[in-house]
Amino acid sequence: MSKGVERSVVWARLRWLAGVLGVFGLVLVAQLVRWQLVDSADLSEVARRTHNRRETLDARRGTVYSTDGRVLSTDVYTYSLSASPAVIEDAKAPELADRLFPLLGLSRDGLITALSGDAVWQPLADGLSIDVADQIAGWEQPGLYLEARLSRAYPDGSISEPVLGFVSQARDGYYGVEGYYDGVLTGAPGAWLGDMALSGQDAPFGRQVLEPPEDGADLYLTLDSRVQYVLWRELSSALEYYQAPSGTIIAMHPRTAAILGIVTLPTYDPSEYGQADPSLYEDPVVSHEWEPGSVFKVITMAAGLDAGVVTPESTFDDTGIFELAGATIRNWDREAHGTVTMKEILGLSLNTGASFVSTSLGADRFYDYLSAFGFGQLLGVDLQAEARGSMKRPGDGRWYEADLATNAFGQGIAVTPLQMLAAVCAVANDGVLMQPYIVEHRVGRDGVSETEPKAVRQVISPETADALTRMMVDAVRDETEAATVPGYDVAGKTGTSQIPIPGGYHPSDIIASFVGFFPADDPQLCILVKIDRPQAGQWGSEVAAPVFSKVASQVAVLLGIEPSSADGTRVASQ
Amino acid sequence: MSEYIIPTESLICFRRGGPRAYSEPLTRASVTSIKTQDGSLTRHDFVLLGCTAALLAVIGLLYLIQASDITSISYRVHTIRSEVTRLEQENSALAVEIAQLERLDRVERDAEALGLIHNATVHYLQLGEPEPALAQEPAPAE
Repeated sequence: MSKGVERSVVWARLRWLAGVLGVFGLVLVAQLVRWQLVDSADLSEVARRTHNRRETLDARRGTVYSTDGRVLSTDVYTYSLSASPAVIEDAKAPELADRLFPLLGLSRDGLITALSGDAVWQPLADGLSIDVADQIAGWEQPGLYLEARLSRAYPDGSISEPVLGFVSQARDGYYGVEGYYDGVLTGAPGAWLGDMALSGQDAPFGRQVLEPPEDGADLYLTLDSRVQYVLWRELSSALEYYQAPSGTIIAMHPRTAAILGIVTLPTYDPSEYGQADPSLYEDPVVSHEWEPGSVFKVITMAAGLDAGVVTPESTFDDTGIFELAGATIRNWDREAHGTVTMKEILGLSLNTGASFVSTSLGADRFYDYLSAFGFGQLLGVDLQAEARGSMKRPGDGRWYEADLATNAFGQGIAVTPLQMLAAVCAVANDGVLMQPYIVEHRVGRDGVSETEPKAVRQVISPETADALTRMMVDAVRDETEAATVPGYDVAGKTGTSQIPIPGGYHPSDIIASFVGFFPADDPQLCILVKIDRPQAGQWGSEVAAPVFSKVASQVAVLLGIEPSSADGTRVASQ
Repeated sequence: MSEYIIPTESLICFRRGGPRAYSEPLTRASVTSIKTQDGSLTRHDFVLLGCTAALLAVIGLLYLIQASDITSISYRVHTIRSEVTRLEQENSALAVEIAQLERLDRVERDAEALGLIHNATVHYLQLGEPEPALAQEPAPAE
């Protein structure tokens, strides 16, 4: 072969090789373009997942305390136990079941079935305590797995429910404080971020970053656990004694509208909310409305006195019947009481007299006063699911002239128990309506945030409030001895309301109530008692007033409220 | 400056400034590397390679020690973190247990079991202004 031929063969081979390399290079470049530009994000994510470890760190939900420092709801770790029967030898299942069933409270046979077979994963139990989890972990049994998770604990059980509400398994708060302050109580989860070696361990010289979780804020309530317990105990015994299915007691400070205690029965244990009747979730104190009956006469009388249409000594000729727009109003005792003063109308709880006051005011002024007292609107209390109540007004299409007469004694108008108590507290607070609240302060990442008592408006003048207070004191002293509290002047009013049903009112069932405050000369405590459908007793003075007396006398001692001496001066408690 | 007298026919010499006539005497400064013509290494090369290998070995050892330390520290951090988590879990469980033991209905039940009873009435005492204390005359000295 000549040198020229040999060179051309070499060049041909080189060109062929260059072509192959060129094609290979183009494919390589195309692949690089695809990786770098087209699939860049996806591939980066795959790489991140492969080499980066992310361990989520749960944030603790804030703890809720009573004003006296007791834990009402807090986060606690519980454990779930699962098994991998495929890993557990079938022969060992009975022995394992023998050890597990006393701890888990499950049947032995059921456990043997669950632990046998080839299933990869089998949940066994949830909500285990740390002690039980410790015991099981100590066995070091392959195929048994424990997982810790945060759950909500309510050490007081149902006593402070439904003020608190509950926290779902998804860690969302519902109802009460848990629902209203869900955003404040919930923290932000953190994470451990790090580079991971192929072995799955932390990579040497790799990046390790801690993003700490931000725990939720702690809430300190105005609720006093001692007061709460007294309310709970007295309501429990009252429902049993009067054979009533349900009831409510609220205690509030009249000067600030700080809620000291709320008890509603029946109730549920919020840590086992899933097994409770969902109708119990709502707090009746803020979510349920009731026709208040005669306790509402306090409001009607306040409006009449403040507007100047009546004075405590004004008289009314009670014939036992009051007629308006075709409606006939009768007294509870179906009696005619002759000429009576406004003070006596309140003491004797005369429906006719209350209707006389409201009609003397006129519809516009009467309903303006009711609105000023907060009826038919939200109070803005920091509890979830607050209802407005139902108050008709002239011109809204549902109002009839007769309503002016019936609304005066609390019929045909629906209010929440908290609205009723807040309105009476306004009388105790020199005529100033305060916004009720239950969170005293909260402690979070931003420091301490105090709740300042908030005055909504001056509803009636201090003089009117003082005159009405004296009328209420007389009403209790002269007509409702069961509500008196030894050593204190109590201002209050009974209520016996009918229960509306389709087409009218229930023929026999009633709701007994009493609302009052004391000491009358310097009110420190305002209490509403409401007992639904009592079977042993038919009047507020008979059912609710004694409960008020029992609660008030005990709470007065707990809160150190000094009694009045015979001449009205305060004495120092020892 | 000492001279290296090496038979030029047995050496391939690379000099600073490019190849020159081999007749010039070589000095330590003018020689950059020396390799025998048959490719075998000189003692100088062995020393150089030995030092390089030793250096690499030291670097490798340091890396291994550091990696081992970091892995060990990482493990300890992980263990301590687990312990902290564990103590937090215990702490929260104990806080709940304390609160449950302090439940007022439980305290009342226990008190009643011990024979304690409720105080039916509370008496408040009204104290007058305290009488001014009269100064005692000092006893005469004996």
